[in-house]
Amino acid sequence: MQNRLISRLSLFLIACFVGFVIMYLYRFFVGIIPFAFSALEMWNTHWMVDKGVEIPMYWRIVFFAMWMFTVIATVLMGCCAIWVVNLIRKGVYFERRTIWGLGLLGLFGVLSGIGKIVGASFEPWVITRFNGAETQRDIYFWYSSADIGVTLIGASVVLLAWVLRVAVLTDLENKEFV
Amino acid sequence: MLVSKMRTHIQKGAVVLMAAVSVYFVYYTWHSFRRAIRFCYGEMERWNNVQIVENDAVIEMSTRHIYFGLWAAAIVFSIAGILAGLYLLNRVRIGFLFDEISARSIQVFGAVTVLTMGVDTIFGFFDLYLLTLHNADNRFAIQYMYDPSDLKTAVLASVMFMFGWVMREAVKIERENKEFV
Repeated sequence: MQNRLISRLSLFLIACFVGFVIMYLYRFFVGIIPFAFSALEMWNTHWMVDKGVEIPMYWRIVFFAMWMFTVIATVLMGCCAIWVVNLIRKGVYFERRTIWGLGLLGLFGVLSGIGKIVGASFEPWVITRFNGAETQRDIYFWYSSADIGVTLIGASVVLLAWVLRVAVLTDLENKEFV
Repeated sequence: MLVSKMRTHIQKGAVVLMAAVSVYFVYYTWHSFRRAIRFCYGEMERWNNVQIVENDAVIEMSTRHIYFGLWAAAIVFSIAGILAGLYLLNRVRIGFLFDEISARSIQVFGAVTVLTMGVDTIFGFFDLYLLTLHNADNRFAIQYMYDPSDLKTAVLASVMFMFGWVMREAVKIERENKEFV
């Protein structure tokens, strides 16, 4: 009964996670890519940017690469979540690949949280890099409680994977002893 | 690596995480309530200074109460999630790694965190609507506010919930087997 419930909830979660990854990528493609490459005027007319400033292509690539780190980490996090929950759905609970998947999920969560904080801290500086000296913004520490939350929960997931690994090894030791 | 050594590493990791989460807990509670109280009641002009709010809009007290209520609910749920996390980390620190109470704590932590993200999303639905409710012209409708950080947190928390559940089942089966033997 419990197993069937776990399996059904896993299926529901997989559907949610797939939706999340698709929506996240869609938002990225309609947000960052036009700003950096396909709609050049978006950057030139940004409220922080001086009028008449031209942004060279190499700098647009820097901006894009800066956000790509977070995007890749988040998408990989989503994929790991789908992988791990799919293993749970199949009843593969405490095997090596499940624990690995859980550890990677936590790691990408941490990288995604840190990437967002670092990216947002650098963003005003990157955007106003070619402004005059008076209007150019400095790098400043930006954070949101949600992104700190993502980082801390990601670290907790890594710890959980470690706990499971110890549990599996202890079980193995006990069996060998018997 | 020896299992006992790994256990020690886990316990040390839990101490480090507990320290980080404790600092975050104190700062978050203080900063969030301070911001909410100042925005809604302490410095009334803050509301009108928001870019989308008209300068001459008169914000009714009832709107401020509702806005504060929704914001406070999101903060209180977050605090509950953080406390559940601290409880869980403390159990790991002590050395209770794989027992029924720890498994249940993982599940509770996951559930409370997912719930918190839900409440935060509901707050997001009403945020712009309430802020611009007393504008003469540009009023925003109730709408979904996309927040990838909330969604990422919910993904991680729901996986933790599932693992808590699976661990509980495993502990139960192990206990039943021992009783049988």
